[in-house]
This record gives sequence, C-alpha cells and structure tokens, in this order.
Amino acid sequence: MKPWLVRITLALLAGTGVLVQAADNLIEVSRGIESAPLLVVQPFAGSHNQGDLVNQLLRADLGSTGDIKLADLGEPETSALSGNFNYEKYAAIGVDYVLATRVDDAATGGVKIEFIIHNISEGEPLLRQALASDTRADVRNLAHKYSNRVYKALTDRRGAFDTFVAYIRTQIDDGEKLYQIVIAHADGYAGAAIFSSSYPIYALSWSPDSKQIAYTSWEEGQPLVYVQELATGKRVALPRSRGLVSDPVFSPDGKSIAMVISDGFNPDIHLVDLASLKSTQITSDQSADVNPSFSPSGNKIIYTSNQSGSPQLYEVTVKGKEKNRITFQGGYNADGIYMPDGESVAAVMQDKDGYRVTLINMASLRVQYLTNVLPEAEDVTVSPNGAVILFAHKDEQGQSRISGISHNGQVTFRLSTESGEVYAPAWSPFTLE
Amino acid sequence: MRLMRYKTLLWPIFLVLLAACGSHGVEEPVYEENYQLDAQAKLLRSRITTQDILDAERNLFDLENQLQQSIEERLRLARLAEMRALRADNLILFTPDGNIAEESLSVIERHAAYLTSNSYLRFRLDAYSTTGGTRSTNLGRAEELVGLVWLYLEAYDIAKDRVQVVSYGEEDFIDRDALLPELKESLLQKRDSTAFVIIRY
Repeated sequence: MKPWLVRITLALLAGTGVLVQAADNLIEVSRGIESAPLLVVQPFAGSHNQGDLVNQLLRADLGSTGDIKLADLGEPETSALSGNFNYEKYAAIGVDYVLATRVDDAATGGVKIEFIIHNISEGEPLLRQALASDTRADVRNLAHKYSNRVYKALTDRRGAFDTFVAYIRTQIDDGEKLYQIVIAHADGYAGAAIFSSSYPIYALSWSPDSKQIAYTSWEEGQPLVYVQELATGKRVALPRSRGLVSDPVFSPDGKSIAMVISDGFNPDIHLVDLASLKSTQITSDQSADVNPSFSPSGNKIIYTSNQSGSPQLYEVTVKGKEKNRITFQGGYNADGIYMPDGESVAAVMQDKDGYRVTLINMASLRVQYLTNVLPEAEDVTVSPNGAVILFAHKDEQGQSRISGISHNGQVTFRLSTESGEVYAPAWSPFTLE
Repeated sequence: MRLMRYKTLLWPIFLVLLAACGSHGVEEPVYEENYQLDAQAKLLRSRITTQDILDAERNLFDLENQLQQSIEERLRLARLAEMRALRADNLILFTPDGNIAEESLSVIERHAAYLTSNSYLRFRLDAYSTTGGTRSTNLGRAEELVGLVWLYLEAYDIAKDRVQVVSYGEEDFIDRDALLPELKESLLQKRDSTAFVIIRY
C-alpha cells in the first residue's frame, strides 16, 4: 500500500472513540461517521508560518459538525492547486473531495488563503477561492471564514465557525465569588468578560442583530431580567414583578422578549414588547412554566411546564390559543430549543440512568438520543446553522463543563474554557459576511 | 398592678383637692352641700394651697405616664417574644409527593394568625428547591411551593400585596448549616429535604 493511502486508512480507522487535540478544542469522534463525504485535506503549501494554525482550525471546525470525514496526505501536491489534477488516483480509493490550500502573506499586510476543492466523482474543481485578512492578527477569524466556505461547498449548509458563544463563568477574586458573562469565539478561543457581578447570573440570550444580550441576574436580591448593549455596556432592567422574573429570549424579529414572569405563586410565559415594555401573558397554567424558546418563524414558543406533575416540554402559539404537549418519554424533559429549520427541538431528558441531550422530531415527536448518559446536563444552545449543539453539564468528576455535539450525534467535543464553573452557553446569530 | 392601685387611691384625693381649690377663693355653697366632706377633709382644705393642687396634678400625670409606658413596654415585649417565636418556627416542609407536611400546617396557621392581627405587617416567602434539573425548573418549582403555602394564607384573608416572593434554586444564599438540624430531622420524617419555604418578616 502506498504511504499516503496508509495515512488515509489510518485516519478513517481513527474515527471511533479517539481524542484528537485540534486547535483549542478537544474533539472526540464518538461514533463512526458513515454517510458523511470523505474529504482529503492536503498539507498546506505557501510561505506563511500561520499555515499550521489555519490547518488545525479547519480540522477542528469541520470535525465538530460530524458532516464531513477528514483524512490527510503526507506531502502537498503542487498539481492540486493548479489545473492539472489526477482525479482517478482518488476515485480509486473512494475519496469524495480533495482540498488543497496555500497560505501566504497578503499584499495588504495580512494573511491570504487560496484554496481549491476538487470534486472527485465529477472530475472537476468544485470551488476555487481566495480570501485575505487586513492584519496578521486576524488570522484566526480568517481561518474560520475559510472553514465556512469549505463547509458550505461540501454540505450546502452555511458555516457558523466565525460566530461567538456567550457563557457564564465563576471565578474567585479576593475570596469573593464573581459571576462573569464571557463572550468567546465559537471554538472557545479569546473569551472576554463583558459583565461581572458578585451575584448569580444565568439564562443568556442574544438579540438577532448580535448587538445585545439579555440575561437573568440576582443583583437586586431576586431574579430580574436585564438587557445589555454589547458596544456600550449600557444595561436596562425589564419590568419587575412580585415573584420570579427570568429566562429571557429574544424573538426572531428582535422586537420583543419572551420571559418568565410570576405573581409570586405561578410563573408563566409572558411576551414583553421592548419598545413599550408592555407585557402580554402567553401561558396561564396552574403550574410553573419556564424556559421559553421561539420557533424560527417566531409564531410559536416551546417551554417547560410542570402541569403534568413533572417537567415536560409544551409548544404554544404566541397568541396563546393552541397548546400541545410534545414530550411523553422520561420523567423530565426541559430546556427545549428549536433547531434553525424548526423541524426538531433539542432538549435535555432525564430518566433513571441520568441526563441526555436529545433531538425531538416535531412531526412524529420521536426522540433521538444525541449524547450518552451524563451526571447532569442543562442550558442547550444551537449554532445558527443547526450543525452543532452546545450544553452545560457535569463530568464524571463533578467538574462543570460546556460541551458540544454534532446535530447527528456523531461527534462530541469540549469547549475550551478557563477553569472554574462554566454554564449557560448561548450561541450568537450568524455574523455578517 | 401596683400602679393601678396607686391610681385608684389617688383619684379621691385629687377630687378632694379639686374641691378645695374650688372653694379656696370664692365660696360655692352648692359644692359644699354635694360633697359632704368630713372634718378631716375640711381641715385639709383649709391648709391646701394652689401649689399643692398643681403638684398633685403633676404627680398624677407622671403616674399615668408611667402606667401607660409600662403597658406599652409589656405589649412590645410580648409582640417581640411572639415574633421571635414565629421566626424560630418559620420553616415549611413538604412531603416527597409535593404536599405541605402535616406538621407544617400549624406553622402556617400560627403565622397566618399573627399576620391577621398585624395587618400593617409586610412579609416575605422564600422558597427553595434543589430538586434537580435546570436552574429555571428549580426556580419554577420553588414558586409552586409558595403557591401551595399561599392557598392557606389566602384563607385568612391576607392580601397579596403584603407579600414578596423570592425563589431560590441552585443560587441560594441560605445558611444551610443553620437549618441542618431541621433538614436532617425532615429527612428522618420522610420529608423532601430539597424543597422548603421560609416565612420571613
């Protein structure tokens, strides 16, 4: 067997239960990726010393989705970047695509990435593009945009590798516990605090234009909802009540926030108009209704309610007229969040074994287990393209983690965060191209 | 009690003094006939000056004040003792199936009676639930516990605007060590140690 063929074979065999340190993420390919196309990533050509980083980020990005099988070759083929490419060689071993990349200094002072994707079955290039950053410091962002384009070409799904994740971390500062809202790149890199408080914070939600974050804070001695502008740090408290005020989530049009408001005895889902701050009650059960999440169209809300005696997921129209229970399996289903296509809902289920992240088909109400059993799981959030689901959980040692799983349940990874308790991840909308 | 006796004794003297005062300057035969004072009183009257009357009035006023203060102090101490007793017995427990524990019903009733007789008093219901699950489901569960307690308080016509409700899930600020004996006890009695409500003033 030729050396490069051995490498491909080994790379494919490595697809089960193997931990691979790729960039800042610890990626574990938990199950075989059977139906995904096989992409051979050729070693990067070019003069720029950041080529290895771009290569690593590409692998971490594409690898986290479970949509593409990755393999590599030992030596770069100069012919792969030119028009003279040997398609038959790859067709013979079942490769679907070959990616050849060159990373150089850009004339602007930044970094330039040129790449070509060869479609082996068609025997012709699928995509040839170049992109450049203004500065060398932007190389990571440029690499994620490069991953976006490769991903879109191979899956027809928009890439979201250049988006952001907000989450909460706790740190001990001078003996005092500090709660911080952190915004990091979607791979966990470069997390920076945008708000710190001595009081607990939870339940983050991005506005659709990514300019604001809403959250619940205990700073006034009870849970209240605040909306913070990211550019200025300016904060506004939403209307208070005698009881619980929490779990804000922006509507898809950004004009209102669905949240939990209670008179002190019965938390219900309300819709608060952000211009007038007027509140409209959506649910009126005699039990706790929490965790609202909007459907992509904005006309339905999924939420968790205790009305059957244990937390289960329900769907209600925003006008509150129609309500349906959607989970019946397991004693506990919570934290439901619509996938971007609106056809399914990611959630957390608890049964006698423990917690699992699940995917519920909204037409059949069939439940698919995405993760294995975890000691604890909550705070589910979905990438804007629906490729990856993040969630907070405790590991076997009781450590607080944020982990991700691909939408098909085939790849799990741990988001790289600093030490300390981390929870409440919230994935940002798409960034502007 | 002693002050009460003094007060009873002082009234006749005060009346005598008043009568004396009345007859000290201008003669008023009608009063004299009506009061039928004895010889000793007549003697006293002949010797009492205006200053004596003013002094007696002042003494009486002081005694009344002392009496009033004493009554208020006793009432205040009684209220304080009652409040202390209620504060020491303000934990409402629940059974594993989510009902208020039998022994906690009397706790609620005592507080309800106190709130009814002190209608100016505002209070807080702190609800705690760490039953498991997400932060939000725990907070929601905590408010449901408050809802159960409120059913009883409402029966005593306690107005909703007197109460503030604070629900705690994972984020509680409670000194669990202080509650530990009672929570341990609650476990022994097969109560739900992850869910409880505290009435605070």
